[in-house]
Amino acid sequence: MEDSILALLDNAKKEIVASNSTSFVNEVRVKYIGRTGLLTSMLKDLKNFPSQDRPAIGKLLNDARIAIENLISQKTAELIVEEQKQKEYNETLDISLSLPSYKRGVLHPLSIVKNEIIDIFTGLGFSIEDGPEIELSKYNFELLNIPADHPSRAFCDSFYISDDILLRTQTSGIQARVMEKTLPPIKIICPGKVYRPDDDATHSPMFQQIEGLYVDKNVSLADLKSVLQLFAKKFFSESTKVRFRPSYFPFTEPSVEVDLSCAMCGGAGCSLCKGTGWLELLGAGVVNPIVLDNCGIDSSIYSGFAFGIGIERATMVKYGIPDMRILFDGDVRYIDQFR
Amino acid sequence: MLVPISWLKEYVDIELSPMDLKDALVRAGFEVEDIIDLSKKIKNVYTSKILNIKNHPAAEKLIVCEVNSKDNNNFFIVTNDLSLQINDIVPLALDGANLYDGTIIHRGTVRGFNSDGMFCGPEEIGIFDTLSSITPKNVYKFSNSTAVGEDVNIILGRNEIVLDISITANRSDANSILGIAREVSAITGKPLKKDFLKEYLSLSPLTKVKCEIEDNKKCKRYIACLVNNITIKESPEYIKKRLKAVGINSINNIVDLTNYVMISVGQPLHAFDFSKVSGNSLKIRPAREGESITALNGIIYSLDKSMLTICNSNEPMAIAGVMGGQGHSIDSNTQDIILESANFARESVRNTSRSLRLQSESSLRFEKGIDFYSQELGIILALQIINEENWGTSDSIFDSLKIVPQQKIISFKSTDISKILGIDINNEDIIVPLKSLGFKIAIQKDYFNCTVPRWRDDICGINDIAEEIIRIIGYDRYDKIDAQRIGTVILGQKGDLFKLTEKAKDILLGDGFSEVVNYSFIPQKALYEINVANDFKEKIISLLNPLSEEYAIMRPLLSYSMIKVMAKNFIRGNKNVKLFELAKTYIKTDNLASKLPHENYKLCMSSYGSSFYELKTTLERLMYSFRFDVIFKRKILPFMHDFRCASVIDKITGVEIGFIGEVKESISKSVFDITDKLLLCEINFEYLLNNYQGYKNFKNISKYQISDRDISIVLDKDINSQDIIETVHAAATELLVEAYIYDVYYGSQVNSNQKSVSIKLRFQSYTHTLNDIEINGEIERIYNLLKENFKAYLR
Repeated sequence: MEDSILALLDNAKKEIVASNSTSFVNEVRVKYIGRTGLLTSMLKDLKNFPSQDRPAIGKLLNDARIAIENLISQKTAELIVEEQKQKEYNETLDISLSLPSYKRGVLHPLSIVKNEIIDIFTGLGFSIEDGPEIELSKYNFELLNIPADHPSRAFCDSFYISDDILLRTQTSGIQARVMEKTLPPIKIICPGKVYRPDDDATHSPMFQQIEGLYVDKNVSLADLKSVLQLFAKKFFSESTKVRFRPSYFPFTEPSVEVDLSCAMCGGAGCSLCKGTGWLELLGAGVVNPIVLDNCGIDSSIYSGFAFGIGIERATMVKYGIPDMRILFDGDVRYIDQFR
Repeated sequence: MLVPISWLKEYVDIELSPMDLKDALVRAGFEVEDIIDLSKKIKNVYTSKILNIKNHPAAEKLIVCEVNSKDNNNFFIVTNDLSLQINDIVPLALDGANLYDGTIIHRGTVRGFNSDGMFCGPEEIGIFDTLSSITPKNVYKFSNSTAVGEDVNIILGRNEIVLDISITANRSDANSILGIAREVSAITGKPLKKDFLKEYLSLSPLTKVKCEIEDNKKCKRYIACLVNNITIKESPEYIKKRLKAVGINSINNIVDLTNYVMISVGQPLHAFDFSKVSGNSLKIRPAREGESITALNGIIYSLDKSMLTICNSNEPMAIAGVMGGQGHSIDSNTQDIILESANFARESVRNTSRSLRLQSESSLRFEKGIDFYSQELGIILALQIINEENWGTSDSIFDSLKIVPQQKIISFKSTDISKILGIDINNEDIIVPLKSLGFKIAIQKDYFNCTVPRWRDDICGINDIAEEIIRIIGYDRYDKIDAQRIGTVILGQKGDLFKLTEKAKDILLGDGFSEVVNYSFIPQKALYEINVANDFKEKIISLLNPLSEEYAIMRPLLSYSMIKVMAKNFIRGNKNVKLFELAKTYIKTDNLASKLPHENYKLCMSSYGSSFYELKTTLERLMYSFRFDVIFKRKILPFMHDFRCASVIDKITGVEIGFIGEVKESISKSVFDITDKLLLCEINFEYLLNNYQGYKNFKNISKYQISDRDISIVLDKDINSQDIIETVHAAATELLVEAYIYDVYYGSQVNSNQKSVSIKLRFQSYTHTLNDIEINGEIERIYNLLKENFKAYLR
């Protein structure tokens, strides 16, 4: 009897080891320790043995059952891992494959630069104002101290819709509109499209400007310098320097051209700055008291500064774009570079 | 403005190098565009006198000339110009010479005969404006009085450094050699060498001509000076050379004189032949209707009464400030002249110049504005030269200015200046620069009473004074001011327009749409190309002066520009392009209160290489994020596919806010060469801005289980999905929280005019878990209404 039990256990062991799937292991389980399994029936036959033999045989049978169960659960666990592995192998993906439509869209470089400038100035307390692109000459010229016989009023320097309505040549009209209806302190920036009749590599008949205006008590040219110095550091780098040069704009007095030390060479002189070490990027100045008075702000109490940045020019400098017309070309191969 | 440095030195001593002078001028507000070295191009070319001419021993068409030239040496030159004569003075390029076009000349042999150099044609020494008697191929001949053996650069006035200075619009007073000299004097501290005011005129009043000014607004001052016994001849070398250096050709002494004075002191002059001032009357009056004039350029101009003219008793002799007439100007027979030095109003000259399309050096200067002081200066300098050169005798003078205008006096304290500039300013900072610029200063207690020089019309107030001070003492005073002063602390606000624009853009970017920026102008023909000319007929904003036909009107819609840029991408072979633009459109307004047109922010999206439903998904995603419920209704648009276009409608208000669909093939393909399906959507973004509600109230979510049911129905295939879903919602109670179509089937399982639609229904309650009875009740109501509305049946 003992021999046949050991032989049975041995067979079972061999079959379990040889099993290559969980279902086969299950078959082995049914065959030996299932309800009608070989070992189970031997256990059922135990009552036929003499009572003095029963404990010994019973123990043998029981040990064999436990051994088989252990082997089975061990084998099953192994096979489950293996089968899972196989299943996953069968589900192999070519992870190097990409869909053709993965691309996110790209913001236009002019918007990128505009937003960057807006971020800097809103951080300094300037709020955004918007206004009409087609403007009354009153706001575009007269209130800004650009008299009727001023050269920039000439027909060839602006696009006209009628005698006194034109495409704004600067966003300063918004400033005039804000000053007319608001008391100082006024601290605004006016981004937007403006129009002038030039069309070449560095001029476009439509371009974008951000103009800033700060009117308060005791605002001076030194405050302008401070704000633009901060802007220059944030927009280019901490080491960027700001330089004033005298200039002329009817709405500011004194007026200055603002040069920033070259972003590419840092001032040593390169192709971008044409060897001068400086980039001409802004026009600015102390708001002409005539303009304040024109807009109903008492120039004996308040003073202000104003500045204007050409977004196209800033973008070209920032990214080294050689021709302004590229910005309006619309070919996705240009735009998608700015992701 | 071209400023030869040697001419400038006549008025002020200059010790700076041209480069340093340039930097100094730039720091003072005068942009120097260029430093031109006129002698650079031509080197080692000398005047030579032909002493002897022989035939070339070996060639019939060549001659050998013996010439005297550089350092009194004689040279032998082979040439093919058989017209040369003994005693001709010609340019000789010696060994190693550079010619105007960059050619380098070397000594060599010509057909066996040694030639020491080469004679030059006019173009080879940079003369392009010679009279027709000299052909460019022949050797250039100088006048017989020309010095021999001289560098041609000296003879031609090219031994000169010229600054090209651009002058800002407020500084018309600096538009002359004298004007720049004043600035140089102020910057360097060297005094001006000439003081013209000391030599004021002492001529008797003009009686031989009666001068009358009809319009003293347009003619603010008129000086007429009679000069007798004029000899018309060539100008002296110094005048010819200087004019040449600023790009003006020499004509004769009197014409040259007017130009020379204009460049010297900025005052345009004009010379009339006295014998042609018929009736001895000089009238400055508006032209009469029908009058015309043959100007000095030979062109006949018809005049009108807006134009100011200088007339004799019969007819206009000159267009005031613009150009003289041919019949009344000087010629070789002229004996007596009237010299005019006038101040014509800027606007008047500009308008005349513009409507005649006629510009001159003189009109450009009048347009910029000339001060009262210059008229005297101009006449004084002109008479001085006439006197020195012995060209005639000044006789008598008329000056319309009876009272010299008061000089402006500006009073201020030093604190006024430092308040504007924001830096410390002491008395010396104020006095030194202002005095050097010609201001007179009287100090009274704390006040500076500052008399503005008569030529500085641009100085009106303290801010102007502050600018004069800082530009002379130097803006480098600001170098030390760093970023510490940001003024009153105010919250910087970006505002809804910016924030919502960025929000919208971000959604589109996420869906793969890149941004483009197109011009606001489009051609008139654009509207015809997309068949909308009639729709916008009365509403178009046209430019009065467009740059070209391409930029003629302000766009009333973004779609045209978008189709254009999509076509550009398509033709260049870019695949699967998706673009958007967010910009304004412009139409005439019906609103009588507003003088300005209506400007409207629009959003345009377009794609090819992807489906209508992808574009629609992006639009719906945008609307979802902006919390707008929209419905789509079929729409007929002149440029869109009749059966693949929808209007986008705000479900709450019923307002149409845009369209979406496929562009008609007869446009996308036939007009724009896009052979793929072009999808297009244009939305009134202004509507979204104005009606945006944003996220308001928090709503809790239901704690109870959601139950999903799917139903499939068969119905007519023309019934649109939106109506089916609306019907489903109409039939159900609020327990139906979501319903959408997840499958549409056409094919053999249903009739050819039918489709099968599978709908996902999701039910949920806030109060309890729903049971089958409740849900089945909902489904039955839904099914019944679908049956009723669409004759639908369960599949």
